[in-house]
Amino acid sequence: MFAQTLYVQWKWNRDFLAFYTVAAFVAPLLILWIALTYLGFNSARELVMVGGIVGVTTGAIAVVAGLTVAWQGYGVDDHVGHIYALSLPVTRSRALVLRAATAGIILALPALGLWLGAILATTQIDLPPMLRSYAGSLAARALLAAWLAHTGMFALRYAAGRRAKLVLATLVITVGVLGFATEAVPSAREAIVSLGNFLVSNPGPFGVVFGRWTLIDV
Amino acid sequence: MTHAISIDGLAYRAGRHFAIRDLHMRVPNGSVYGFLGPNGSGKTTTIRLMLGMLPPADGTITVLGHDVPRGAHHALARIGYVPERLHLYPMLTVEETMRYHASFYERWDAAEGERLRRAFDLRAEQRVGRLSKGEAGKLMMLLALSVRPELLVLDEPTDGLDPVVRRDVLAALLEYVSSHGATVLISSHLVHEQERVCDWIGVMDGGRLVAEMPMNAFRSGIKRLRIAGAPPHTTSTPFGILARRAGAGREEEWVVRDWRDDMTSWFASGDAALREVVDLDLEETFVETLRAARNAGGRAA
Amino acid sequence: MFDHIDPRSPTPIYAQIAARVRIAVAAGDLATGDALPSVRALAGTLRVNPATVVQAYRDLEHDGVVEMRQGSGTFIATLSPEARDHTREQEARRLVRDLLERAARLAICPAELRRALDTELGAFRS
Repeated sequence: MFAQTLYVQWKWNRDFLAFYTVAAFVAPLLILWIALTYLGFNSARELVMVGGIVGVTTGAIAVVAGLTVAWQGYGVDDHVGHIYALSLPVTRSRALVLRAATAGIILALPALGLWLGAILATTQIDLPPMLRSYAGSLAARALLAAWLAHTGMFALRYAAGRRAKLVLATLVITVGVLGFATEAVPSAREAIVSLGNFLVSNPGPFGVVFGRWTLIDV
Repeated sequence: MTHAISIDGLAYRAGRHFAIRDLHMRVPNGSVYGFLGPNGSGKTTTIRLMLGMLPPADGTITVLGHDVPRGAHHALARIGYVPERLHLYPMLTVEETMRYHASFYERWDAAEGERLRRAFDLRAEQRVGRLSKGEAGKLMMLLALSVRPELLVLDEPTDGLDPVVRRDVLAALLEYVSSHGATVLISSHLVHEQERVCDWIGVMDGGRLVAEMPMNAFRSGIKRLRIAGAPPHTTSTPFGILARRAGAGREEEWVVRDWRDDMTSWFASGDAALREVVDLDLEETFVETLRAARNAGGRAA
Repeated sequence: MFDHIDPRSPTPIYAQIAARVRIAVAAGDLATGDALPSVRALAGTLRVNPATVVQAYRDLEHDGVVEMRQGSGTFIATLSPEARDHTREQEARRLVRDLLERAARLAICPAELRRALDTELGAFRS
């Protein structure tokens, strides 16, 4: 079941994945080439800025890859009216886990492409002594971001039925209420702000996306 | 478990309107159960409810001993399903589809799947999206039969197929049923086909089952009588009169149920003369049953 | 032998199948020991319910026309010439019974039928 689902996920996503993997591989190389060779950036500050551009670009590619795979997967079932998936002898939860897990595996490809491209790119340049390359952690960050994006889009698409819509509505309302409370109730503000900081910075759950995306840093 | 499928008090709403209301159905084990009904009577919806694809508004459904939809995935492992339209993934090849499908079923018989693929003349590397209607129909039947099911649920399995393909598909189905004693539920409006193949019949109309009985009882139960000199009112007939209609000339046509051949004697006394007892084929029986059910509903309302 | 099985006929399908076999035996087309198609094959070929085929074969077995051997199939039973003549007589009576039933449905009385039979037999001979 798992192997076959993985095969099928691969088959219907391979065109997109090939594109994203190649893009993620080429991006660091291209950006560094443009910056160093074409524009002649070589100061520490300039290099860190370029590293940041690579980070943000590859981050975007990863997120888009995650969104695409989630969208595409649901779209294929939607196209045939979900009858096939519903007629197979698996519980709905198991079917969804199979889809999500196999998607997670194939999303490793763009991250892999990024990693290779980043390593290759940074070996081509002489980094000043205080700077180093964060190719590995950038790739890891990209993978996590792709998974997060996939999960979000996946949940949105598959949120069938009243229960799922209820959960989503609750989340939206909670965020809204918290946002309002931050403005209206000064004493609660500090608590809410620190909660928000926890969520969006390392090691909070969204830290991966809102943290610092960069290839080259101190 | 004497019934492969047991449904009690089933109700289902599509929007504000009740597509199915108070449905009771019993499909006996080992029977070939024909599901007949006009378009829009709720046959496909009932089938989807039976397979746990839709949540019922009320009522209980038991399939192969499992409560549906709660235990649907248990029942589905022993069910071969052929839906109305192609439901498979278009970008997979025939071979890839078979492999994917097989991975979900413990009872998948790979040798049988391969035998049927060859018998049906399906190329392994052909994409499902490029199959003709006939090939798609054959593939769906192949998948349904190769899981070695105890129950086959077929929704218009031969509709739109040319006669040659229809024969191949039906022959494969009946060969399987002969050797494995499986139960079959076929929903079809191809009445003549149902007539050859089914030994039980369930007639659906307006979201309800209006008749359910063995096929020979259904067919022999209703007859059309040609009567001359019919009295305006009839009392205490040994048979039930479903309808009286004008016939040719001064004759009348009576549609009756519970007829037995010895009842010709009833016409010996009195003015009415029995000219002919006409056997109705399945299609005519079906039409008369629907008419009677609708009239009864009208009168009751 | 089994073409034109008519599901719409008032005669049940199993009776039609059995009748074909009886006629074939009576005419000598099927001899002792000849195998009939398996239930599976015949149900598939005729596209009828397998229970129908089983019923036809059981009916024939009951009348001693065939033998159903577990695992091997269904075969024409040993029929002596007397038994074959008996089968022909039975078949003839079956034909007449069918005729009588159909006549009854059309409210044709036996006397009318006899007259018709004499007329037609006369025409048939000449």
